[in-house]
Amino acid sequence: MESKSSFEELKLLITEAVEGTALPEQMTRLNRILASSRSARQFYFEFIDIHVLTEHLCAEKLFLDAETTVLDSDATKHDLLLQALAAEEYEADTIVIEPPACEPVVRPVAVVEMAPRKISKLSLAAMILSAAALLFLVLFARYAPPKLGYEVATVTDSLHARWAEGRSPERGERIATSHTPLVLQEGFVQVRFDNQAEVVIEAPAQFALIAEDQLRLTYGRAFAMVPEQAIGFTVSSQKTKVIDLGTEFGVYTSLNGDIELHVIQGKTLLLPEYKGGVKSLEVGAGAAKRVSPERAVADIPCDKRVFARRIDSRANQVWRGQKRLLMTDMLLGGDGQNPQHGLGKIDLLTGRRTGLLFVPSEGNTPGFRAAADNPFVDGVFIPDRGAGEVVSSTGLRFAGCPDTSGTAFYHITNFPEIPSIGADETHPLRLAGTSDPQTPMLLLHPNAGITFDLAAVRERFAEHQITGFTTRYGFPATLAEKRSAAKAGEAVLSPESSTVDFYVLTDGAIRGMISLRMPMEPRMLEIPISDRDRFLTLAAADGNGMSNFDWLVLEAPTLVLEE
Amino acid sequence: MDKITFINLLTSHYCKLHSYVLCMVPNKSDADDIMQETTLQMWEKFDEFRPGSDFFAWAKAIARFKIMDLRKKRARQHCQLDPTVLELLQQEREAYDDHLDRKLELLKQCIKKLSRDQKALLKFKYSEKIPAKLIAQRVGVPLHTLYRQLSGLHSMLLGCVKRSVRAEGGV
Repeated sequence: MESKSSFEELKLLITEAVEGTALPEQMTRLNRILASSRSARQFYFEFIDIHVLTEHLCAEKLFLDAETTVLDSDATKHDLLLQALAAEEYEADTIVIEPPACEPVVRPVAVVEMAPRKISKLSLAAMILSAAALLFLVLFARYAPPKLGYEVATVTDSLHARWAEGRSPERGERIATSHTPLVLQEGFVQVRFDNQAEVVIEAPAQFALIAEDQLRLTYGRAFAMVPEQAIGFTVSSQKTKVIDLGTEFGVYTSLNGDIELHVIQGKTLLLPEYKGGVKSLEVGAGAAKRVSPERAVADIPCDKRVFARRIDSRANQVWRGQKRLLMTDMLLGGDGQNPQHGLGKIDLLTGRRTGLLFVPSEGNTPGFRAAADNPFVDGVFIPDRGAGEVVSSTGLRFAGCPDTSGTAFYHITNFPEIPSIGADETHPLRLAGTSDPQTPMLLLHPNAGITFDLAAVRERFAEHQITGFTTRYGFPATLAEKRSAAKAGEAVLSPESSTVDFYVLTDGAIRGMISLRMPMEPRMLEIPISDRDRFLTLAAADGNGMSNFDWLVLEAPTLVLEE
Repeated sequence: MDKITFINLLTSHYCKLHSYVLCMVPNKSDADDIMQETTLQMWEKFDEFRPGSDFFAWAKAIARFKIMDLRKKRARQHCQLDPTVLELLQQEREAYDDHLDRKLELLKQCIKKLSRDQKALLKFKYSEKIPAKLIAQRVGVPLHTLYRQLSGLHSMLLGCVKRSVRAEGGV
């Protein structure tokens, strides 16, 4: 006759076994129960399942935090635990456990010696579905052996880079994994790994690529932008690793061994190595940590500006995270954030969008026309001393406005090609040295001006401050070719051709004035903007009253904002 | 080797694999070690895994070797399941593998129904990972009492999940 035994004993045995505190006689009893009863084994499976599922679910902090009140004192915790421990148990199913065939042999209690742990326990605070992923990434970063001598990345750019003797990778050069570090004494280098992770390293720095997705930084600054397919990209430094979980982050290692991690976007795992193993800390966007040489970890302010995130040797620019608004997007009614904006023109005679490129002779007179249907463009104007000095809807005047012919020829446009008036030819709207055909361009042909409303921009981007205007400017690349191929006496070679005075104004005051004359190479222009500046005006005037081949091209005219 | 694909597969089957391992090695620390070793080896051998084939079966096979390795090392210690019990469990376990995702969803709802203090206990044990011994010490109760309540809590949740399954018309 079977004897009924409460499931109490079985579930307690399972719990003690799982917790690692079961005595040998308890394990013997557990074995006996499981061997004797199918229903006991069924309960065993279900109980373990619930244990595992509960553990995984509760490891997701957000889940349980939403369910529990804030426990802000030891006393509160103590009371709650006592209540939990005094709670009535819920009635559950009863299982049949067959009695043992004979009394068990009593074995002396032995101390259970645990084998030394090969892999240290890791503390992972993560979403339940990411627990496995995080475990894998940490293990991978810690134990995956490096594969040396494989090409894993390409130098995509360098700016004022000076290397120590020995290796000095050039743009376009492939870099292989190696334990031998590269030493960057000056400047910047941008490296793209084959998994599309991009890292900008700022001198002075010593670094090595030690795996297809791992960079070792002995000292210096490194900023990593890691797309989703490269999740798990790791920067190791001293005895600390930073594992990317889909993010942008910067690591700075000083010569005295301090390591700083600043996370700009997404999440990372910070793994300082201790004698007893590795402890992992999740560091999210807006947070920063410092790890001392003794592996003490401290919170520090996240500095979003300290790392070079992108370099552009062609434009001689280093981008440290400022927001950049494309004014070609604003021309078309956008807010400057859409690099895929389309094409369009603003009519100099009405301030509205137009399908025309050439300005008709009727109404082609100096003056300001408000861009009523454009949120960020205040208006457009044909500049001329006297009649064409107003540059804003508030009546601000162009101080020092030049005397021009008072006539415009082309509306303001970002169309990719410029047809020449009176000649059967077109010129691509592109500067020499522009490799990307998608780079936004703006044509500002004399006599034309456009005024942007900075107050509207500030309202739209209330958390940012406009700090400057920048653009690369010049004549179309094909114009130089045309001049090279032209015979003496041709119009393109006349001294009056390709002469443009380019003005940048804020609130009507000249901030920059450049006389463009062929031949010339494209140049960069940067104008700082203060909080007091309400309007930014860009204007092109015919330098000598003539407008032949006066195509002023502005490449990526940009407003620069900072938080 | 495609890390993202591996992570996605691992994440999808992790709970099932963990539960399988803990059933065969009912010791949390040992099971965690086996999971770590199994995960590493799965990654190292991921090139051998045929896309589209049964990832869980492949993972389980690797885990089984790790379990056997551990059992050999612990052969002289009396803290593991008997070979006959292990064999029975391995034969019967398969029927439980397929329903864990659904049980997880039901468990979420069951945990919501717990009292504040019961949730607090789960939070300290599993979310903040405070060792049971330390919880017992701080509160001033014997460890055995704490285990009794923990096992009662698990039992309560198990009952809730089973009732929910029955209510849905499942087995």
